[in-house]
Amino acid sequence: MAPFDFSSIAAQPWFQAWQRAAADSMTAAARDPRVMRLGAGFLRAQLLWGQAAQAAWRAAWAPVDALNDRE
Amino acid sequence: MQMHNEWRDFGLQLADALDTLVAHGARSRLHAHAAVARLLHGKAPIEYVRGPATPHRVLEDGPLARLLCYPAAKAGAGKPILIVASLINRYYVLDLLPELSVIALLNRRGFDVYVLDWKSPGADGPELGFADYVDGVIPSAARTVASLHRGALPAVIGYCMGGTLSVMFAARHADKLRALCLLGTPVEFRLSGELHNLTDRRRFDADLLMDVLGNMPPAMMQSGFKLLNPFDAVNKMFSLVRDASDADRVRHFVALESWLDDNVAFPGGVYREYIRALYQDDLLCSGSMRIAGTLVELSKLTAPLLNVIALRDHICAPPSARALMPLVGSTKKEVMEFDTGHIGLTTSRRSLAELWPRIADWLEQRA
Repeated sequence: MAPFDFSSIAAQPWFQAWQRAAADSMTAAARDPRVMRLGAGFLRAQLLWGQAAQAAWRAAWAPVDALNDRE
Repeated sequence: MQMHNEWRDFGLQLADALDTLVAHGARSRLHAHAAVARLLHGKAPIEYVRGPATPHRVLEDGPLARLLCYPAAKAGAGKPILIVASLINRYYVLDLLPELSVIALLNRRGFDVYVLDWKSPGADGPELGFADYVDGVIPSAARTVASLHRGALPAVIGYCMGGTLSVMFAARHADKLRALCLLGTPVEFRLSGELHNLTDRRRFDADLLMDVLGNMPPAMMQSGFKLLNPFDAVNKMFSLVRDASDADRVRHFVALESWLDDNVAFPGGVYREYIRALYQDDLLCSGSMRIAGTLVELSKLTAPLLNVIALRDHICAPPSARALMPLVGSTKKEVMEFDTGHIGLTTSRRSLAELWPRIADWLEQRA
């Protein structure tokens, strides 16, 4: 006999009902317009920080770039 | 020399190297999961499952892609087929396991199969555009294949976004292919389902994303796909634990999941065009799509066309693929619908047994 028999648990109607309910609620949450707006807002904020960091990086290298260009 | 640009290029190359490491790590992690699941059933771990299952050789090694050859019997003897996969996914979803390989099936049916294996775009990615692929890599591969077959043009099979690229290629280079077979190919993007919703221009700024990241990292693309069915990852683990006593199922699981985690970055320049022109403005169907300044006219696609549609496709909803049919100039055109999902088109045993023999018949008739 197998040390652990998940097949019999997975075949139980209550388990299958729970699986369906969990899948439905997670999909609904992911597609909720408020969640999507929130996610898009977080992404945009992160990208704007990234853009600012890149601008600072460019500015930090500007003197070296200017010297290189002169050569 | 601009030092900050040098650093940026180095960062993009480093990101590509990290993607490769992540893919190897994911394959090892999946084998570990499988071993634990098998242990729970009192079974030994499966043998290590590697990438492409069928032996092949590299014909050309270009900057954007490798052209691979899977010969039928003797190179140059079979009928040529050129496979164009999606730019982010590795092509070997069509050659996953020896017993589950579309390419091996086509080889057995007497076709010489050539595949474009996309490379990581690296520092060049942000400057690339559709023109580099639709007017560059794909026609060049078709020419190479034709030259190996005494001028016989290849039939082109395009899968997912590779199908969209193939449609544009076929419309612009009608003299370079014999027939076109599309698998799960979105064409009218406003009908493509949830991905169209996720990339809505009110929420999603592809330009800002690419300004910061340069190329689109595979992990970010994958997280978008996972959002389409977020519980799927949990369900997969349940299925693995439930079915772990069946070694074949576990091998299939590990091979498929490892492939899903083995991706190359989406070239930044192409990503901007892809999201803006296709997902947000839907220009291909309206006839206003331009590549390198010239229109892509679908009416100029005159090659015989087979459009294979998965009825449960959540990446390319069926209406998005069907929309192509009235727009093309082909006189021989056919839709083949099959009850499966997007990836199931190439990786399910049922597709290999029931769908692909029909596709091979169609390809043979047009050889």
